[in-house]
Amino acid sequence: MAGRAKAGLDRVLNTAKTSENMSQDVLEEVKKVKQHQERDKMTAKETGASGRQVIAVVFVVVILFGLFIFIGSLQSKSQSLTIDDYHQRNIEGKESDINYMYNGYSFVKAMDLWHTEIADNKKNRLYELAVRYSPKEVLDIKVAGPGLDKDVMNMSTIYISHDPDSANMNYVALAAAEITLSVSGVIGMDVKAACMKNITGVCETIPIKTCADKDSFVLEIYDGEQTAVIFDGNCIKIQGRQEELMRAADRLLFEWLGIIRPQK
Amino acid sequence: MVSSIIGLMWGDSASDVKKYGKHKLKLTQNGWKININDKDIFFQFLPDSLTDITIDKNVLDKILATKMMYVTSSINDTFAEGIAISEYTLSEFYGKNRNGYLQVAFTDYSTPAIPTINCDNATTNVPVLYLSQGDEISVDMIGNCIIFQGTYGADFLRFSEKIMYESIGIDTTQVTDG
Repeated sequence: MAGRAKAGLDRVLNTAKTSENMSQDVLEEVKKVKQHQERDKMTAKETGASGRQVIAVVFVVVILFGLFIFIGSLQSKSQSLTIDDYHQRNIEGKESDINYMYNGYSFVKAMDLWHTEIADNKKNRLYELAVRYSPKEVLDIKVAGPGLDKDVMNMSTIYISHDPDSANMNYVALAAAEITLSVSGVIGMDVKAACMKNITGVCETIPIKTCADKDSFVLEIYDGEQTAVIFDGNCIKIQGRQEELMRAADRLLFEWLGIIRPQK
Repeated sequence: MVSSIIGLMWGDSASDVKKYGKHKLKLTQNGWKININDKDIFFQFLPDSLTDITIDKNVLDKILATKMMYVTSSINDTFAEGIAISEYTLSEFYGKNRNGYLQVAFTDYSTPAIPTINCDNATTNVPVLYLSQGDEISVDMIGNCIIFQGTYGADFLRFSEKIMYESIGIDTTQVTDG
């Protein structure tokens, strides 16, 4: 009886031991599983973090690329605007520093020059006038004198005469070229280069003309201290120091073409 | 100079008219006049007196094909006066006969209204004509930049008039009997 009881006890102990071992195994297994889960969690966390970073970087790159394309398209759009486009903007009232309306004339700045169009109704055509200054930039220039004789505008030729003694011939050339282009193209007169006196080799080859030649229409260009335009009988005088001469030349053209109305 | 002396004697008969091919040049108070397409063009020099200036055909084609051209020179050039006369003679010709325009500039000076222009600014559509004093008369083209060098002031006007003659089909490469 005692032996059977001992055997039973041993079996119980063994079973308990086995159970303990099993539960330890289970515990270990659970521990392992937990560790795996922890590791997986960590990995998942890390993977999630780097994934978000990648998405963020891609997002920023896409935004930057889009921005780049947008700015590029805006720039190319503004660069591709032609002078005519800017004239159209003036008509639509979209004026800026480089395009504006003045007394009904549309002015657009392109390639360092101000462009406007002058209609010649008699010939039914448009002339393009290109000048260095716009009307607003020459309004301060003094315009003086009793005015031009009525018949001088019927003359076919205007002599643009310079003083060969002038120290600033380069500016005389700039002013003369500015007037010449417009007078010959828009106003339709023949323009002749002339000298006020015959003292240089160049003046030997061209006519000598001054305002004293009453039978001729003469434009005298002076290198003078005060910037001014003077209309006097058969004669126009423009004067100024260096590039002021060019401003005076453009003021003359605007008066002549009626873009700036005569001062009263 | 010879033509200007002739010019002083205008009003004479036989020497008043010179024939160059189908064209006739008539001496007037303003120089030698020719009428092309109802427009009068005036010259101070006869074609005969321009034969010493040689302009290659490709240079001439470049000048005549353009609607806009920069004409530039040094602000300190000795021949500023001659260059000036040349510039506005060419300006008139371009404005009146070619419906184009020239922009006069300097190689060594600029303001907001006067750009500095030199050969570097020359493009196919807007070539540069650079006028300068030189030891001999020469016309060269580097890329789209045409460089004319003159030896005295009137050379620059002669160069301009040579371009004008050639553009209306008057040969200036040989002396004719007129």
